[in-house]
Order: sequence, then C-alpha cells, then structure tokens
Amino acid sequence: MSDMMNALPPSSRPAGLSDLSVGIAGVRFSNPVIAASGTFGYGTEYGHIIDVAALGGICSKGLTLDPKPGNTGLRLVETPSGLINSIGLENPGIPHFVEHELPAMLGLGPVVLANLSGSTMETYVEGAALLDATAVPMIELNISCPNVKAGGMAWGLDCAAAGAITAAVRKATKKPLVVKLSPNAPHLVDVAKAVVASGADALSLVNTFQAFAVDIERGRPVFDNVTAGLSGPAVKPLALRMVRDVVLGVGECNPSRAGSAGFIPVIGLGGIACWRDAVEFIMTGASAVQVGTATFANPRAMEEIIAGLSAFMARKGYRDVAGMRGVAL
Amino acid sequence: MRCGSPHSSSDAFPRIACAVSVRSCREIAPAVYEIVVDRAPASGFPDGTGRAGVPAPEPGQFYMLRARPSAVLLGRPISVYLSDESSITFLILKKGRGTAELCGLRAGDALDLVGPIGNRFVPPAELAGGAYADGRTVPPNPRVALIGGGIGVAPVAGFSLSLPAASFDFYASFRTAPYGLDRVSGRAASVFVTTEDGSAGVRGMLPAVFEPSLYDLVYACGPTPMLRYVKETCAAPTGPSGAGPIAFLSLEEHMACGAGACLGCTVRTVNGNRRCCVDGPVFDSSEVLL
Repeated sequence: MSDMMNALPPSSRPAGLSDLSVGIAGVRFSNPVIAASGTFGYGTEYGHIIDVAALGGICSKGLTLDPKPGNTGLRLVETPSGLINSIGLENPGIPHFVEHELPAMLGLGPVVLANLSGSTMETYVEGAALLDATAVPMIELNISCPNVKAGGMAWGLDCAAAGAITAAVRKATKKPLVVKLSPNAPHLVDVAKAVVASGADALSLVNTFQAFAVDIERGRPVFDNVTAGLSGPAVKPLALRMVRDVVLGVGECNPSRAGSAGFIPVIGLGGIACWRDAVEFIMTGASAVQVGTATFANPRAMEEIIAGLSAFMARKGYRDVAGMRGVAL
Repeated sequence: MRCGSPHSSSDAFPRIACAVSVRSCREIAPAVYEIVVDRAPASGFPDGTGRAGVPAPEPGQFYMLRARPSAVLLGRPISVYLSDESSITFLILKKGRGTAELCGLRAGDALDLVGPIGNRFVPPAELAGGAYADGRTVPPNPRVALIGGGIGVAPVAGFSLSLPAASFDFYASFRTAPYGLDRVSGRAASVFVTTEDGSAGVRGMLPAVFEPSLYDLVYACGPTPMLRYVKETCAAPTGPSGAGPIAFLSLEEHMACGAGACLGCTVRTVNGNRRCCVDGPVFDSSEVLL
C-alpha cells in the first residue's frame, strides 16, 4: 500500500483518514453504507453479530398502515449468485412499529429510514402522517415492492402513478423523502423524473427484479404469489446501469449539480456485496449505497464494505465521497 | 407480538460470524456426512475476529454453514449433532449444491459459520412438576420420548446426551440404513428403529412403533410429514387423563439470514407468524400449523 501511496501526486495524498460522511437531503450519515429495507429487520436483529452502530443508516422492513402476514408458501429460492424472495411485506403495521420498534431503532446510532409501503393512496398517506409525527429522520417511500397483489410496485411502474403517490405523501410529511424505484418500470428515467418533479428529496434504486421459478416436480410455480423479486450479485450490473441512466437522464440527479439547490441525490443498490461494488456505484454517481442480500450471505458484509471504502479512498487520495462520486460517468 | 410459551426464548444467545477450520469430514451413511469443525476462528481470513471462539451451542440450536470458497450465495442451516470445548460436530445430508460443497470439505479446509442460532430443546428437568402453557402440567418424573427422522436424528441425538441415562426412550426412523445412534444406544432406556425397507429394526415408519400415551414429553425432529403425525397423534386424547403428551417439534425452513431479519423462514402458528430461525426452530406442537 505504501508504494501505491507514493505513486500518487503529493496534492492528492490524504492528510489523514478520508471523510466517509455524506449528506442526503440534509441528513448526515457517518458513512455511505445503509442497510437495505427488508434485509436488516429493525436493526436490532443483527446486534448480536456485528457492530450495528458502525453503519451509515438502516432502512426498516417495508411498513404498511395495517399489519400484513406476508405471503403463504415458500418464500425464498436461491439462484446462481442471486436470491428470489416472496416475503410479501410481512410487517406489524406502522402503529406497532412506531410504538415498539422505532424507539430501539433510533437508539442504535445509524440514520433510520422508515420504509413506507402501502396498497391504496390513502394507506400510504395515512402511514406517512403517522411517521411524520415521530422522530424518524427520513422516510423511504417504497413504490417498488413486487411481492404484493395490491399497490406496491404498481405505483412505481408508471410515471403518472409514481408522481401522484409521491405528491400525496409529500403533502403528508415534512420529513426528507427518499423514493425507492423499481427496475421493472418500462421507462425508469421517466418515472424518476416524475418522482423528482413531485417532491422527492432523494431517490434510491433499484428494488428487486421481478422473477419467476418453476417447481418441476409438481409442474407449477414455486411461489404462491407466482412472481417474486430477484436480488443479489446477479443483478448488480443491471442495477449499476440503471443508476447511470438516472443520474445522466435526470438533470437534478447529476453529480455536477451537487451542492446547488435542487440537487436530488441517488442512493444506489442492487447486488452490492463488497467494497469494490460500492465504489462502482459511487463512481457511477450514487451519493450512498444500500446493501441487502450480501448481509444474508455474510453478516459482516457492510462492516467490510465500510473498511474497504475507507482504505480505497485513502489509497486513491479521495478526501471525501463527493470527490469520487460520478467520476466514471 | 412475540408472546408465547416459555420455551420460545427470542434469540437471547450470543452469536458469532467467522471462518472455522474443518477437522474431519467423512461419509457415515449413503449421502450423510459427519463433519467436525474447530470452535476457534480460523486464522488467515480477513474476517477472523480474534474473539475467543464460537459460542457453545445449546441442544437444539443450529448454525448457518457455507464452504470456503463457495459457489452458492447463502449459508445452509445445519443442526448441531455434538459439541465439546473445542469442536462442533454436524451431520449433513448431501441434498443440493450448498450441502454438496460442505460434504466435500476435507480436514484443514475452512467454512463460514454463523451461530449458534435459535432456541433450544428445554430439558425435561426444567419442565418437571410444573405448570406449562394452556393449563397443561408436567408430572414430577415425566416419561420422555425423543424422536428423530432421517437427518433430523442429529439434533435429537445430541440433545439426548444432555439427559440422564435411561430417562428417555429414543425413536429413530429412516428410509434405509440407520445412522447417528452410536451414542444413543447405551443411554436410552429403549431404542426403537424403523426403516422403510426393513433393512434394520421394524419395517415401516414411526407409527409402527410409537405410542404417545406412554409419554408426558416428546421431542421430535424430522421431515414435515413425520412431524405432522407427531403433532396429531400427541394432540389426540389418550387414556383417562385426557390430554396427550406435550410435544416439541424442531422445524426446518428455507432460510436466508438466520438472524430473524429476512422473514423468509416464517412458520405459521396459532399465535401468528413466527420466525423459524430465531423464534424456533423448536416449537410447541399445539402452537404450530403444519
């Protein structure tokens, strides 16, 4: 490592450790690594295994106004370098979350994002109002869950629907609002534009890819809900390309706008499993990243990504994340 | 939301995620491997934690295991067979790619381990002479049956080693050649073996030998149809006392995280959804919907 450091021009040599902190819509994260929704429970589940306080942020499990039991039947199928899930937004409902899960979650240290899902516009708006009355610093609006019959991803496939739901939730809360987009939208950049125009403060992309699996012994779909969501390393190159499309296609999301009013940062996710993957997303214009499936495979994945990012930035002389953001565009 | 009977501790045990070394791996029956791993984290891996070692498992707990290197994404949930101060022994059925990798490991190879995970088999001594849930009681000297079906024999056989000798009967059902019973035979009051092909013990399956009215407490692990039978037969009224034995079932589900976070291993119960990994794997048979 010292050889590589010496190879850098003196001006780019770090004086000390690189600054990993990032600001997203006015909220400060100690580092750009966030646990993705649905993969980290409410943050406390992994407290026995890793140092949860070291994370930049934690997205809650997808929350709906009323409790949801989730889908019946088999919920998980592993594929080559991927995982198909059909959880179906199993959650205790927002009132229960606010009373029983959120207080402990807020005490963990990382920035908490409440992942808000729903079926009808009314349930989204009512859920947003309940979250608005809490101390949660940020809301991630989930219009991209592929595993529920009503609502969910349906809101995120179409520009008009995505804009309408974002505008309605925007009215219901003053909290910084991240909108989580679906890779299954036929025109993702247009959906991103609609969401930005309707009041999103940041975007996160992408949620899982709609997938299908067959039980060949029984000659029928594996999942009771028929289709399900694919995540994991298999989707990373696709997700990365979609982040690129959005930061290049939506003016407000372009890193060249960073620092100016109206900049809408992008949080990249999809198959990130190691620090190199995280660097790729940041170099493609993401201000932060989310890690999900990798945590299942390796509970220490996010700790390793943070350490790896820090070492890489020091080696390359990046003083902060912004200096690396979008350099590959 | 996680109310429940006294046996369902919710993940109160310390866990570790690290690489450990394989001491030995051998095939003990067709497609069944016994693999012994160190409890000390393997050195030379970037995630070697330097912590003292893998916490000791309680009977009934399991670990997520994945070979190193591995072509699969996720660890596989594997029950503990035996453990001592320095090692843990698993029995693994070679079933798919993940277990095939584990069964192909050799002494000196490394594997990734997370655990111990889950609740435990609550021993009869802790339940004896006391009130259980739903008005049920356990007599001071409960009559105990342990039941293992196929690879499910591993955690039950391991559990039996923590019980006083001759304090339990052991039932083991296999398709063909029995395994995992070496340490049980000398300690159980009686051992009943069934094989579907009649190659050992009684020809047939568990119902050919099991009589629930003889017991107050039953502990079982095995394929779902067998557990369904245990649940139903133990729920049926037996004799003048009315109630059948209290039965604890160790369940198996597909799992991703083994941490209670992904909700992929949900078990349906009369008290709503529970997570097999951390609310289980051991459930009261009267609670779980199979």
